[in-house]
Amino acid sequence: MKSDATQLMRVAEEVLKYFYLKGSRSVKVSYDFGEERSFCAVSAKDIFLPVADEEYLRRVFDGPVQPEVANYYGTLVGRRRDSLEMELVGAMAELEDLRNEEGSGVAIILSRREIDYRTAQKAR
Amino acid sequence: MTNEPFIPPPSDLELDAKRARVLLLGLFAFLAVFGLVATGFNPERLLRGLGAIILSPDILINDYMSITGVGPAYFNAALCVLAALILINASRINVSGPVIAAVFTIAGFALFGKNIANIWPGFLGAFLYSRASRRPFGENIIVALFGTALAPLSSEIAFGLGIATPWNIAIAFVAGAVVGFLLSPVARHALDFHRGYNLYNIGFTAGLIGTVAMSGFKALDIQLTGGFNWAEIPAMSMLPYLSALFLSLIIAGMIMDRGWVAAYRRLLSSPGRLVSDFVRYYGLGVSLINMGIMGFIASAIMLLIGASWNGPMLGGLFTIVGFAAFGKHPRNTLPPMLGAMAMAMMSRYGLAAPGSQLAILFVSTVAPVAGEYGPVAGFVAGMLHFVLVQVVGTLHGGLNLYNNGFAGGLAAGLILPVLEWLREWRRHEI
Repeated sequence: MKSDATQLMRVAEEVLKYFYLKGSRSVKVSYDFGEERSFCAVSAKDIFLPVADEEYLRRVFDGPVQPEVANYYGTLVGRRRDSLEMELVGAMAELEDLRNEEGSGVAIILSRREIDYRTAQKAR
Repeated sequence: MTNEPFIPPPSDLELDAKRARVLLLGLFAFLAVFGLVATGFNPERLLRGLGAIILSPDILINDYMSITGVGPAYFNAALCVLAALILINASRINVSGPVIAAVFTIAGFALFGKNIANIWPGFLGAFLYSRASRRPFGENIIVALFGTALAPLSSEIAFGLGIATPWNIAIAFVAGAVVGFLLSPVARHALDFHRGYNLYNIGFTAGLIGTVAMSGFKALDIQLTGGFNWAEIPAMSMLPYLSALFLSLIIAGMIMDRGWVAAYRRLLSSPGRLVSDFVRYYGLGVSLINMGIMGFIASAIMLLIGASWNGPMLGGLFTIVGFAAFGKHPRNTLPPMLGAMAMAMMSRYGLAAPGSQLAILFVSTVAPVAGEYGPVAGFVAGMLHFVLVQVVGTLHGGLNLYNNGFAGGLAAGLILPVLEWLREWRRHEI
Protein backbone atom coordinates (compact mmCIF):
# COMPACT_ATOMS: atom_id res chain seq x y z
CA MET A 1 0.00 0.00 0.00
CA LYS A 2 1.25 3.49 -0.81
CA SER A 3 2.50 5.36 2.21
CA ASP A 4 0.61 8.52 1.18
CA ALA A 5 -2.64 6.55 1.35
CA THR A 6 -1.70 5.06 4.71
CA GLN A 7 -0.89 8.50 6.10
CA LEU A 8 -4.23 9.87 4.93
CA MET A 9 -5.97 6.99 6.72
CA ARG A 10 -4.12 7.86 9.93
CA VAL A 11 -5.14 11.49 9.54
CA ALA A 12 -8.81 10.55 9.14
CA GLU A 13 -8.59 8.30 12.19
CA GLU A 14 -7.28 11.18 14.30
CA VAL A 15 -10.02 13.53 13.10
CA LEU A 16 -12.54 10.80 13.89
CA LYS A 17 -11.11 10.63 17.41
CA TYR A 18 -11.38 14.42 17.68
CA PHE A 19 -15.08 14.33 16.74
CA TYR A 20 -15.67 11.46 19.18
CA LEU A 21 -14.08 13.47 22.00
CA LYS A 22 -16.27 16.43 21.01
CA GLY A 23 -19.32 14.26 21.67
CA SER A 24 -20.19 12.73 18.32
CA ARG A 25 -21.33 9.12 18.35
CA SER A 26 -22.12 8.87 14.65
CA VAL A 27 -19.12 9.64 12.44
CA LYS A 28 -18.75 8.85 8.76
CA VAL A 29 -15.36 8.54 7.10
CA SER A 30 -14.93 8.24 3.35
CA TYR A 31 -11.92 8.27 1.04
CA ASP A 32 -11.21 9.01 -2.56
CA PHE A 33 -7.77 7.79 -3.59
CA GLY A 34 -6.55 9.41 -6.79
CA GLU A 35 -3.38 9.18 -8.83
CA GLU A 36 -2.14 12.66 -7.98
CA ARG A 37 -4.17 13.59 -4.91
CA SER A 38 -6.19 11.62 -2.40
CA PHE A 39 -9.03 12.93 -0.28
CA CYS A 40 -10.75 11.97 2.92
CA ALA A 41 -13.98 13.34 4.34
CA VAL A 42 -14.97 13.00 7.97
CA SER A 43 -18.44 14.09 8.96
CA ALA A 44 -20.50 14.03 12.12
CA LYS A 45 -24.13 15.13 11.94
CA ASP A 46 -24.79 14.99 15.66
CA ILE A 47 -22.42 17.76 16.79
CA PHE A 48 -21.91 21.45 16.15
CA LEU A 49 -18.48 22.86 16.98
CA PRO A 50 -18.21 26.09 18.99
CA VAL A 51 -16.36 28.94 17.26
CA ALA A 52 -13.20 28.30 19.29
CA ASP A 53 -13.06 24.65 18.18
CA GLU A 54 -13.67 25.57 14.56
CA GLU A 55 -10.90 28.16 14.70
CA TYR A 56 -8.64 25.58 16.31
CA LEU A 57 -9.26 23.15 13.46
CA ARG A 58 -8.51 25.83 10.87
CA ARG A 59 -5.36 26.84 12.75
CA VAL A 60 -4.16 23.23 12.87
CA PHE A 61 -4.13 23.10 9.08
CA ASP A 62 -2.65 26.57 8.68
CA GLY A 63 0.76 26.05 7.15
CA PRO A 64 2.26 23.74 4.57
CA VAL A 65 2.39 19.97 4.70
CA GLN A 66 5.79 18.91 6.03
CA PRO A 67 6.66 15.55 4.44
CA GLU A 68 9.81 15.20 6.54
CA VAL A 69 7.73 15.39 9.72
CA ALA A 70 4.85 13.29 8.37
CA ASN A 71 7.14 10.57 7.09
CA TYR A 72 9.08 10.10 10.32
CA TYR A 73 6.62 10.96 13.08
CA GLY A 74 3.41 10.07 11.22
CA THR A 75 3.27 6.69 12.93
CA LEU A 76 2.39 8.45 16.18
CA VAL A 77 -0.95 9.57 14.81
CA GLY A 78 -3.91 7.53 15.99
CA ARG A 79 -1.92 5.60 18.59
CA ARG A 80 -2.68 7.47 21.80
CA ARG A 81 -5.73 6.61 23.83
CA ASP A 82 -5.62 9.59 26.17
CA SER A 83 -4.71 12.48 23.90
CA LEU A 84 -4.94 13.86 20.39
CA GLU A 85 -2.27 14.49 17.80
CA MET A 86 -4.07 17.16 15.82
CA GLU A 87 -1.02 19.39 15.43
CA LEU A 88 0.89 16.54 13.82
CA VAL A 89 -2.10 15.86 11.58
CA GLY A 90 -1.82 19.46 10.39
CA ALA A 91 1.65 18.71 9.05
CA MET A 92 0.38 15.64 7.18
CA ALA A 93 -2.62 16.83 5.17
CA GLU A 94 -4.17 19.94 3.64
CA LEU A 95 -7.56 21.33 4.53
CA GLU A 96 -9.86 21.44 1.51
CA ASP A 97 -13.12 22.36 3.19
CA LEU A 98 -14.62 22.70 6.64
CA ARG A 99 -18.36 23.04 7.16
CA ASN A 100 -19.87 23.53 10.55
CA GLU A 101 -23.62 24.14 10.62
CA GLU A 102 -26.10 23.78 13.39
CA GLY A 103 -28.48 21.02 12.43
CA SER A 104 -26.33 19.68 9.60
CA GLY A 105 -23.31 18.93 11.77
CA VAL A 106 -19.65 19.25 10.95
CA ALA A 107 -17.78 17.95 7.93
CA ILE A 108 -14.12 18.27 7.07
CA ILE A 109 -12.41 17.36 3.82
CA LEU A 110 -8.66 16.84 3.81
CA SER A 111 -6.30 15.95 1.02
CA ARG A 112 -2.81 14.67 0.52
CA ARG A 113 -0.80 15.04 -2.62
CA GLU A 114 1.07 12.12 -4.09
CA ILE A 115 4.73 13.04 -3.93
CA ASP A 116 6.22 14.40 -7.13
CA TYR A 117 9.00 11.87 -7.13
CA ARG A 118 6.63 8.91 -7.18
CA THR A 119 4.50 10.50 -9.88
CA ALA A 120 7.58 11.08 -12.01
CA GLN A 121 8.62 7.45 -11.58
CA LYS A 122 5.22 6.28 -12.78
CA ALA A 123 5.27 8.52 -15.81
CA ARG A 124 8.44 6.89 -17.13
CA MET B 1 -23.12 29.20 12.41
CA THR B 2 -20.42 29.43 9.78
CA ASN B 3 -20.50 28.15 6.25
CA GLU B 4 -17.97 30.27 4.44
CA PRO B 5 -15.32 28.89 2.12
CA PHE B 6 -12.04 28.59 3.96
CA ILE B 7 -9.38 30.99 2.74
CA PRO B 8 -6.04 29.93 4.16
CA PRO B 9 -4.27 32.76 5.94
CA PRO B 10 -0.75 33.56 4.71
CA SER B 11 1.49 30.93 6.17
CA ASP B 12 3.99 32.22 8.68
CA LEU B 13 5.91 28.95 8.62
CA GLU B 14 7.49 29.54 5.24
CA LEU B 15 8.76 32.98 6.31
CA ASP B 16 9.92 31.57 9.65
CA ALA B 17 11.68 28.72 7.83
CA LYS B 18 13.70 31.25 5.81
CA ARG B 19 14.63 33.11 8.99
CA ALA B 20 15.52 29.82 10.69
CA ARG B 21 18.02 29.10 7.92
CA VAL B 22 19.69 32.41 8.74
CA LEU B 23 19.75 31.39 12.41
CA LEU B 24 21.50 28.13 11.55
CA LEU B 25 23.99 30.00 9.39
CA GLY B 26 24.56 32.22 12.42
CA LEU B 27 25.30 29.11 14.50
CA PHE B 28 27.82 28.01 11.88
CA ALA B 29 29.46 31.44 11.94
CA PHE B 30 29.57 31.46 15.76
CA LEU B 31 31.28 28.06 15.89
CA ALA B 32 33.68 28.83 13.04
CA VAL B 33 34.74 32.21 14.42
CA PHE B 34 35.12 30.79 17.93
CA GLY B 35 37.25 27.97 16.52
CA LEU B 36 39.43 30.32 14.48
CA VAL B 37 39.93 32.75 17.35
CA ALA B 38 40.73 29.94 19.79
CA THR B 39 43.45 28.61 17.47
CA GLY B 40 44.86 32.13 16.99
CA PHE B 41 43.98 32.05 13.27
CA ASN B 42 46.69 29.45 12.83
CA PRO B 43 45.66 27.21 9.88
CA GLU B 44 48.40 24.68 10.52
CA ARG B 45 47.29 24.18 14.12
CA LEU B 46 43.69 23.97 12.97
CA LEU B 47 44.38 21.34 10.29
CA ARG B 48 46.56 19.30 12.61
CA GLY B 49 43.80 19.40 15.20
CA LEU B 50 41.15 18.36 12.68
CA GLY B 51 43.38 15.50 11.56
CA ALA B 52 43.75 14.30 15.16
CA ILE B 53 39.99 14.51 15.65
CA ILE B 54 39.29 12.47 12.53
CA LEU B 55 41.84 9.79 13.41
CA SER B 56 40.72 9.28 16.99
CA PRO B 57 38.33 6.42 17.83
CA ASP B 58 35.16 8.12 19.00
CA ILE B 59 33.63 5.69 21.44
CA LEU B 60 32.05 7.47 24.42
CA ILE B 61 33.47 9.58 25.91
CA ASN B 62 36.00 11.15 23.56
CA ASP B 63 36.14 14.87 24.32
CA TYR B 64 37.78 16.53 21.32
CA MET B 65 38.75 19.47 23.53
CA SER B 66 40.99 17.17 25.55
CA ILE B 67 42.66 15.86 22.38
CA THR B 68 43.18 19.03 20.35
CA GLY B 69 42.07 21.95 22.49
CA VAL B 70 39.05 24.17 22.09
CA GLY B 71 39.71 25.69 18.65
CA PRO B 72 39.78 22.61 16.37
CA ALA B 73 36.86 21.09 18.31
CA TYR B 74 34.73 24.15 17.63
CA PHE B 75 35.86 24.33 14.02
CA ASN B 76 34.97 20.66 13.55
CA ALA B 77 31.50 21.47 14.91
CA ALA B 78 31.23 24.34 12.42
CA LEU B 79 32.15 22.03 9.52
CA CYS B 80 29.60 19.43 10.63
CA VAL B 81 26.92 22.13 10.85
CA LEU B 82 27.88 23.30 7.36
CA ALA B 83 27.54 19.74 6.03
CA ALA B 84 24.08 19.50 7.62
CA LEU B 85 23.06 22.86 6.14
CA ILE B 86 24.12 21.75 2.67
CA LEU B 87 21.97 18.62 2.99
CA ILE B 88 19.03 20.64 4.32
CA ASN B 89 19.34 23.09 1.46
CA ALA B 90 19.47 20.29 -1.10
CA SER B 91 16.39 18.69 0.46
CA ARG B 92 14.27 21.83 -0.01
CA ILE B 93 12.39 21.41 3.24
CA ASN B 94 10.99 24.02 5.59
CA VAL B 95 13.39 24.58 8.46
CA SER B 96 11.27 24.32 11.60
CA GLY B 97 11.64 22.88 15.11
CA PRO B 98 12.89 19.35 14.34
CA VAL B 99 15.54 20.56 11.89
CA ILE B 100 16.76 23.26 14.30
CA ALA B 101 16.99 20.61 17.03
CA ALA B 102 18.90 18.26 14.72
CA VAL B 103 21.44 20.89 13.66
CA PHE B 104 22.11 22.06 17.22
CA THR B 105 22.46 18.41 18.25
CA ILE B 106 25.02 17.86 15.49
CA ALA B 107 26.88 20.99 16.62
CA GLY B 108 26.94 19.74 20.21
CA PHE B 109 27.99 16.18 19.47
CA ALA B 110 30.63 17.38 17.02
CA LEU B 111 32.54 18.43 20.13
CA PHE B 112 32.81 14.81 21.28
CA GLY B 113 32.25 12.05 18.76
CA LYS B 114 30.99 13.31 15.43
CA ASN B 115 33.45 14.72 12.99
CA ILE B 116 33.55 15.95 9.44
CA ALA B 117 34.71 12.52 8.24
CA ASN B 118 32.60 10.03 10.21
CA ILE B 119 29.17 11.61 9.65
CA TRP B 120 29.04 10.81 5.91
CA PRO B 121 28.45 7.03 6.05
CA GLY B 122 25.30 7.61 8.10
CA PHE B 123 24.07 10.26 5.66
CA LEU B 124 24.76 7.87 2.79
CA GLY B 125 22.79 5.09 4.51
CA ALA B 126 19.78 7.36 4.99
CA PHE B 127 20.03 8.49 1.37
CA LEU B 128 20.14 4.89 0.15
CA TYR B 129 17.09 4.08 2.28
CA SER B 130 15.21 6.92 0.58
CA ARG B 131 16.24 5.64 -2.85
CA ALA B 132 15.26 2.08 -1.98
CA SER B 133 11.89 3.32 -0.69
CA ARG B 134 11.42 5.46 -3.82
CA ARG B 135 10.86 8.53 -1.64
CA PRO B 136 12.61 11.91 -1.79
CA PHE B 137 15.60 12.24 0.53
CA GLY B 138 13.97 15.31 2.06
CA GLU B 139 11.35 13.08 3.70
CA ASN B 140 14.11 11.25 5.54
CA ILE B 141 16.26 14.25 6.40
CA ILE B 142 15.40 14.31 10.11
CA VAL B 143 16.46 10.69 10.58
CA ALA B 144 19.56 11.35 8.46
CA LEU B 145 20.64 14.33 10.58
CA PHE B 146 19.98 12.74 13.96
CA GLY B 147 21.22 9.38 12.66
CA THR B 148 24.84 10.45 12.91
CA ALA B 149 24.57 9.10 16.48
CA LEU B 150 26.36 5.94 15.38
CA ALA B 151 29.25 7.81 13.73
CA PRO B 152 31.74 6.33 16.24
CA LEU B 153 31.16 2.91 14.68
CA SER B 154 32.82 4.10 11.47
CA SER B 155 35.71 5.77 13.34
CA GLU B 156 36.26 2.70 15.46
CA ILE B 157 36.38 0.35 12.46
CA ALA B 158 38.60 2.72 10.50
CA PHE B 159 41.11 3.67 13.16
CA GLY B 160 40.62 1.49 16.19
CA LEU B 161 40.72 -2.10 15.01
CA GLY B 162 44.06 -2.15 13.22
CA ILE B 163 42.63 -3.03 9.79
CA ALA B 164 44.99 -2.25 6.92
CA THR B 165 44.41 0.76 4.67
CA PRO B 166 42.39 1.12 2.42
CA TRP B 167 40.23 -1.75 3.69
CA ASN B 168 39.65 0.01 6.99
CA ILE B 169 38.10 3.02 5.23
CA ALA B 170 36.00 0.85 2.92
CA ILE B 171 34.68 -1.38 5.71
CA ALA B 172 34.02 1.62 7.96
CA PHE B 173 32.07 3.35 5.21
CA VAL B 174 30.00 0.29 4.41
CA ALA B 175 29.27 -0.46 8.07
CA GLY B 176 28.27 3.16 8.74
CA ALA B 177 26.04 3.20 5.68
CA VAL B 178 24.37 -0.08 6.69
CA VAL B 179 23.49 1.20 10.17
CA GLY B 180 22.37 4.53 8.66
CA PHE B 181 20.11 2.57 6.33
CA LEU B 182 18.68 0.45 9.16
CA LEU B 183 18.11 3.44 11.43
CA SER B 184 15.41 4.84 9.18
CA PRO B 185 12.83 2.03 9.46
CA VAL B 186 13.76 1.07 13.02
CA ALA B 187 13.42 4.67 14.25
CA ARG B 188 9.80 4.83 13.09
CA HIS B 189 9.07 1.57 14.85
CA ALA B 190 10.87 2.67 18.03
CA LEU B 191 8.46 5.58 18.40
CA ASP B 192 5.76 3.07 19.32
CA PHE B 193 7.61 2.02 22.46
CA HIS B 194 7.60 5.42 24.15
CA ARG B 195 4.95 7.10 21.97
CA GLY B 196 6.82 10.35 21.67
CA TYR B 197 7.70 10.79 25.34
CA ASN B 198 11.43 10.41 24.64
CA LEU B 199 12.59 13.37 22.59
CA TYR B 200 15.84 11.66 21.52
CA ASN B 201 14.10 8.85 19.66
CA ILE B 202 17.07 8.26 17.38
CA GLY B 203 19.18 7.81 20.52
CA PHE B 204 16.87 5.02 21.60
CA THR B 205 16.99 3.47 18.13
CA ALA B 206 20.75 3.86 17.83
CA GLY B 207 21.10 2.23 21.24
CA LEU B 208 19.25 -0.84 19.98
CA ILE B 209 21.29 -1.04 16.79
CA GLY B 210 24.51 -0.27 18.67
CA THR B 211 23.72 -3.15 21.04
CA VAL B 212 23.43 -5.50 18.07
CA ALA B 213 26.73 -4.19 16.64
CA MET B 214 28.47 -4.56 19.99
CA SER B 215 27.13 -8.09 20.38
CA GLY B 216 28.64 -8.88 16.99
CA PHE B 217 32.01 -7.49 18.04
CA LYS B 218 31.94 -9.54 21.23
CA ALA B 219 30.93 -12.69 19.38
CA LEU B 220 33.89 -12.25 17.04
CA ASP B 221 36.15 -11.44 20.01
CA ILE B 222 36.95 -7.97 18.64
CA GLN B 223 38.05 -5.55 21.34
CA LEU B 224 37.12 -1.88 20.91
CA THR B 225 39.84 0.62 21.64
CA GLY B 226 38.11 3.83 22.70
CA GLY B 227 39.17 5.43 25.94
CA PHE B 228 37.89 8.09 28.27
CA ASN B 229 38.92 11.64 27.36
CA TRP B 230 37.45 14.42 29.46
CA ALA B 231 38.85 17.96 29.50
CA GLU B 232 38.61 20.23 32.52
CA ILE B 233 37.68 23.68 31.25
CA PRO B 234 36.62 26.54 33.53
CA ALA B 235 33.26 28.20 33.06
CA MET B 236 34.66 31.67 32.42
CA SER B 237 36.46 30.55 29.25
CA MET B 238 33.11 29.72 27.62
CA LEU B 239 30.27 31.32 29.52
CA PRO B 240 30.63 34.94 28.31
CA TYR B 241 30.47 33.91 24.63
CA LEU B 242 27.65 31.46 25.16
CA SER B 243 25.74 34.04 27.19
CA ALA B 244 26.10 36.48 24.31
CA LEU B 245 24.71 33.80 21.96
CA PHE B 246 21.73 33.07 24.22
CA LEU B 247 21.05 36.75 24.80
CA SER B 248 21.12 37.46 21.08
CA LEU B 249 18.59 34.63 20.55
CA ILE B 250 16.26 36.22 23.09
CA ILE B 251 16.63 39.73 21.63
CA ALA B 252 16.11 38.46 18.06
CA GLY B 253 13.00 36.60 19.22
CA MET B 254 11.59 39.69 20.93
CA ILE B 255 12.14 41.77 17.80
CA MET B 256 10.50 39.12 15.61
CA ASP B 257 7.45 38.58 17.80
CA ARG B 258 6.07 41.65 19.54
CA GLY B 259 3.34 39.59 21.20
CA TRP B 260 5.87 37.17 22.63
CA VAL B 261 4.60 37.30 26.23
CA ALA B 262 1.23 35.74 25.39
CA ALA B 263 2.83 33.37 22.87
CA TYR B 264 5.41 32.24 25.41
CA ARG B 265 2.68 31.56 27.96
CA ARG B 266 1.01 29.29 25.39
CA LEU B 267 4.32 27.60 24.60
CA LEU B 268 4.90 26.85 28.28
CA SER B 269 1.57 25.01 28.44
CA SER B 270 2.66 22.59 25.72
CA PRO B 271 3.45 19.06 26.99
CA GLY B 272 6.39 18.96 24.60
CA ARG B 273 5.65 15.46 23.37
CA LEU B 274 6.84 14.47 19.93
CA VAL B 275 5.86 16.20 17.69
CA SER B 276 5.93 19.62 19.36
CA ASP B 277 7.24 21.85 16.64
CA PHE B 278 7.31 25.17 18.48
CA VAL B 279 8.27 27.05 15.32
CA ARG B 280 5.17 25.82 13.50
CA TYR B 281 2.77 26.19 16.43
CA TYR B 282 3.99 29.35 18.14
CA GLY B 283 6.33 31.02 15.63
CA LEU B 284 10.08 31.37 15.32
CA GLY B 285 10.28 34.49 17.50
CA VAL B 286 9.02 32.89 20.68
CA SER B 287 10.93 29.70 19.89
CA LEU B 288 14.16 31.72 19.82
CA ILE B 289 13.27 33.28 23.16
CA ASN B 290 12.70 29.81 24.60
CA MET B 291 16.03 28.65 23.16
CA GLY B 292 17.86 31.54 24.82
CA ILE B 293 16.10 31.02 28.15
CA MET B 294 16.80 27.28 28.10
CA GLY B 295 20.44 28.06 27.32
CA PHE B 296 20.69 30.23 30.43
CA ILE B 297 18.88 27.64 32.58
CA ALA B 298 21.15 24.81 31.42
CA SER B 299 24.19 27.05 32.02
CA ALA B 300 22.97 27.80 35.54
CA ILE B 301 22.59 24.08 36.23
CA MET B 302 26.11 23.45 34.93
CA LEU B 303 27.42 26.10 37.30
CA LEU B 304 25.37 24.64 40.15
CA ILE B 305 26.77 21.13 39.77
CA GLY B 306 30.30 22.41 39.18
CA ALA B 307 30.55 20.98 35.68
CA SER B 308 33.53 21.30 33.41
CA TRP B 309 32.70 23.35 30.30
CA ASN B 310 34.16 20.77 27.94
CA GLY B 311 32.94 19.12 24.74
CA PRO B 312 30.43 16.62 26.18
CA MET B 313 28.88 19.13 28.58
CA LEU B 314 28.65 21.81 25.89
CA GLY B 315 27.17 19.11 23.66
CA GLY B 316 24.42 18.70 26.23
CA LEU B 317 23.97 22.45 26.40
CA PHE B 318 23.67 22.86 22.62
CA THR B 319 21.26 19.93 22.44
CA ILE B 320 19.01 21.51 25.05
CA VAL B 321 19.06 24.84 23.21
CA GLY B 322 18.18 23.12 19.92
CA PHE B 323 15.37 21.09 21.43
CA ALA B 324 13.94 24.27 22.93
CA ALA B 325 12.47 24.70 19.44
CA PHE B 326 11.14 21.14 19.52
CA GLY B 327 9.59 20.19 22.83
CA LYS B 328 11.67 21.48 25.73
CA HIS B 329 10.79 24.44 27.90
CA PRO B 330 11.49 25.33 31.53
CA ARG B 331 8.27 23.83 32.90
CA ASN B 332 8.77 20.37 31.46
CA THR B 333 12.56 20.24 31.64
CA LEU B 334 13.32 21.22 35.23
CA PRO B 335 11.40 18.39 37.00
CA PRO B 336 13.37 15.55 35.35
CA MET B 337 16.61 17.49 35.83
CA LEU B 338 15.87 17.90 39.53
CA GLY B 339 14.95 14.19 39.71
CA ALA B 340 18.28 13.25 38.16
CA MET B 341 20.15 15.56 40.54
CA ALA B 342 18.36 14.07 43.54
CA MET B 343 19.15 10.54 42.36
CA ALA B 344 22.80 11.49 41.75
CA MET B 345 23.10 12.69 45.33
CA MET B 346 21.34 9.60 46.74
CA SER B 347 23.27 7.10 44.64
CA ARG B 348 26.88 5.98 44.80
CA TYR B 349 27.63 7.92 41.60
CA GLY B 350 27.44 11.41 43.16
CA LEU B 351 27.10 14.79 41.44
CA ALA B 352 30.75 15.17 40.50
CA ALA B 353 31.03 12.13 38.22
CA PRO B 354 31.10 13.01 34.50
CA GLY B 355 28.38 10.44 33.79
CA SER B 356 26.14 12.04 36.40
CA GLN B 357 26.69 15.55 35.09
CA LEU B 358 25.95 14.49 31.53
CA ALA B 359 22.79 12.69 32.67
CA ILE B 360 21.57 15.81 34.50
CA LEU B 361 21.65 17.75 31.23
CA PHE B 362 20.49 15.03 28.86
CA VAL B 363 17.71 13.79 31.17
CA SER B 364 15.66 16.53 29.55
CA THR B 365 14.95 13.93 26.86
CA VAL B 366 12.05 12.76 29.08
CA ALA B 367 10.70 16.31 29.50
CA PRO B 368 7.40 15.37 27.82
CA VAL B 369 6.59 13.08 30.75
CA ALA B 370 6.60 16.13 33.05
CA GLY B 371 4.76 18.19 30.45
CA GLU B 372 1.94 15.69 30.10
CA TYR B 373 1.67 14.07 33.53
CA GLY B 374 3.00 16.81 35.82
CA PRO B 375 6.19 17.64 37.71
CA VAL B 376 6.03 14.67 40.10
CA ALA B 377 5.90 12.22 37.20
CA GLY B 378 8.73 14.14 35.53
CA PHE B 379 10.80 14.01 38.70
CA VAL B 380 10.33 10.22 38.96
CA ALA B 381 11.11 9.79 35.26
CA GLY B 382 14.30 11.78 35.82
CA MET B 383 15.34 9.49 38.67
CA LEU B 384 14.59 6.38 36.62
CA HIS B 385 16.48 7.78 33.65
CA PHE B 386 19.50 8.55 35.82
CA VAL B 387 19.90 5.00 37.14
CA LEU B 388 19.33 3.47 33.71
CA VAL B 389 21.81 5.66 31.88
CA GLN B 390 24.63 4.56 34.19
CA VAL B 391 24.39 0.98 32.92
CA VAL B 392 22.91 0.94 29.41
CA GLY B 393 26.14 2.24 27.89
CA THR B 394 27.73 -1.15 28.44
CA LEU B 395 25.16 -2.72 26.10
CA HIS B 396 26.35 -0.78 23.05
CA GLY B 397 29.89 -0.28 24.33
CA GLY B 398 29.76 3.48 23.79
CA LEU B 399 29.08 3.16 20.06
CA ASN B 400 25.87 5.17 20.43
CA LEU B 401 26.65 8.81 21.14
CA TYR B 402 23.06 9.42 22.29
CA ASN B 403 23.39 7.10 25.26
CA ASN B 404 20.94 9.25 27.22
CA GLY B 405 18.42 8.92 24.40
CA PHE B 406 18.68 5.15 24.76
CA ALA B 407 18.11 5.33 28.51
CA GLY B 408 15.39 7.95 28.04
CA GLY B 409 13.51 5.68 25.65
CA LEU B 410 13.61 2.85 28.15
CA ALA B 411 12.60 5.12 31.05
CA ALA B 412 9.72 6.75 29.16
CA GLY B 413 8.54 3.46 27.67
CA LEU B 414 8.51 1.81 31.08
CA ILE B 415 6.88 4.61 33.04
CA LEU B 416 4.32 5.58 30.40
CA PRO B 417 1.93 2.60 30.65
CA VAL B 418 1.76 3.07 34.43
CA LEU B 419 1.04 6.80 34.13
CA GLU B 420 -1.52 6.18 31.41
CA TRP B 421 -3.27 3.57 33.53
CA LEU B 422 -3.27 5.86 36.56
CA ARG B 423 -4.81 8.70 34.56
CA GLU B 424 -7.54 6.49 33.15
CA TRP B 425 -8.20 4.99 36.56
CA ARG B 426 -8.58 8.46 38.07
CA ARG B 427 -10.95 9.47 35.26
CA HIS B 428 -12.95 6.26 35.88
CA GLU B 429 -12.32 5.12 32.33
CA ILE B 430 -11.21 1.70 33.54
